[in-house]
Amino acid sequence: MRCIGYAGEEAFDVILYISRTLTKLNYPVLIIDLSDSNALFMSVHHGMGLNSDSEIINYRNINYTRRIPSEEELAMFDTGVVFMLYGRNVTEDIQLLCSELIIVINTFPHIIDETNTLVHDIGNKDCRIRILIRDIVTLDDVERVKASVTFPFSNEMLNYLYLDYADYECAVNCQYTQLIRFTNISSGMEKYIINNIRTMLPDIKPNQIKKALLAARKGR
Amino acid sequence: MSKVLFWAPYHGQGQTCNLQVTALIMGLVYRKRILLMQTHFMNNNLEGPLVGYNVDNESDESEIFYGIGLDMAVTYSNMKKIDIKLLESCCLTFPNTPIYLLPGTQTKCRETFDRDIARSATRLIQDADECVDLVFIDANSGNDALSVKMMDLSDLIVINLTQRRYVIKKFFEDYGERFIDNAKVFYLFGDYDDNSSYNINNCRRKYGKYIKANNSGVIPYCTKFMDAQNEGNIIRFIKNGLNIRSKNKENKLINQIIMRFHSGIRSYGQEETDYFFHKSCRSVEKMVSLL
Repeated sequence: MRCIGYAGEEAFDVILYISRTLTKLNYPVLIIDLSDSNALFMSVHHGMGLNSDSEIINYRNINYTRRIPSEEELAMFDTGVVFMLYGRNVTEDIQLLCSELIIVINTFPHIIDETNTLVHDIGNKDCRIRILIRDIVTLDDVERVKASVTFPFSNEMLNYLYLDYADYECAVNCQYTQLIRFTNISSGMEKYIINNIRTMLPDIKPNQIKKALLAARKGR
Repeated sequence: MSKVLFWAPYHGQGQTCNLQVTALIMGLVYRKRILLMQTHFMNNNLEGPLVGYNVDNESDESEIFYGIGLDMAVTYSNMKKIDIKLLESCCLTFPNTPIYLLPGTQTKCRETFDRDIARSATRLIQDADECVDLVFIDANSGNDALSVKMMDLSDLIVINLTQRRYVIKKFFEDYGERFIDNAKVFYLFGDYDDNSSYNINNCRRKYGKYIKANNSGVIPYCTKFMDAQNEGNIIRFIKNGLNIRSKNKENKLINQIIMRFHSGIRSYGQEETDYFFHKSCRSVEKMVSLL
């Protein structure tokens, strides 16, 4: 089981796109949403009267819940991928589940400050920390963020996404339509999704991931 | 030698389609001799998609089924115990398939049907069970007396449901307790759409008391299968889809087919027909293990 955590700023769209692509590769996916924002909750259709606060719901082959599942439930995803969405709720006992933690940050100084505090409070430094800088306008923003971040990281663990209207529109549509359709995402977002999956699942060939992404983005 | 009863809580849940697909896959892949029969009085079309007669022309039907069918089989059964030769003489067979189709009643009078046919149907089924490997029965839906009687005789009851909230809820309210401790029940969702929030995983979670992974399956919606039904050539459709070659030995064939569809697990963007066969074969595999 590969367990990856996302903490910090909003990354619900990235998690949805990666999850949907993984389902097209027929990997079981579980998203554990422990954040305070309802971004993912609004994007995943809850049917059959099921409540994600107490159960795991399945929608378009993505399993979603807002509680910590039992060991038996987690065992069903032994061959798959588990995403833990912390938001700003990273506590010591919870983070032990993930082997890799992606800190999502943007270019606002106040957000960088809050993220520095958040990461500083993380007790367990056994999990690998990666950074995703969202909504940059130029590469100078990346340098500025790198200079402002106070926790240790390496350049190989840093990714960035440009501010793109198409990505914004796809993310909004994901919440409105609940279709997980991302046909018009930017090339940077596409590259990030493919590289992320390659890191998670190195046995899969890149062109297979690309084909799965093309199938997943249609929302069907 | 088992009896498999296909039943649904309400009419129109795709029960007959599910029976046809299951029987053909079981017959062609697992090489089981299967007798298909129905106990409906009217409003059922078990024969059309298999035989391919023009359903708009009633005279065609009466010519094709003249001298055979459930009525004839029951008559023989009342006279003496049916053996394989008598059974074959009442059935339609299909080249290179181990399927025997016993057409439904041609009786137009309900009272005659209830008096003469329905009462003797269970004896016929018991006799037929000794002649073939599997007897598939397309039973009347709901609380029909004959269907309830046959449930006790059956080795497996396939409950046909759809992804309709009303149907699922009403089924468990009205009939749930009847099947809760029954190990010989299989829940089959036909015309299945995996993109719906009323999918099999959510059903297993919500109705975990009844529906579990090993006693439930799906038969997805497939446009080509629907067209094949309308044109009356589902046997060719299923054969082509499974890529059956008659000279293959039994064990190799089953393994090849199942592995081919299971290997599709790691592929992406499955075409609708491949997905239909993949999921249908998985469901049939589970039914076979229950039998």
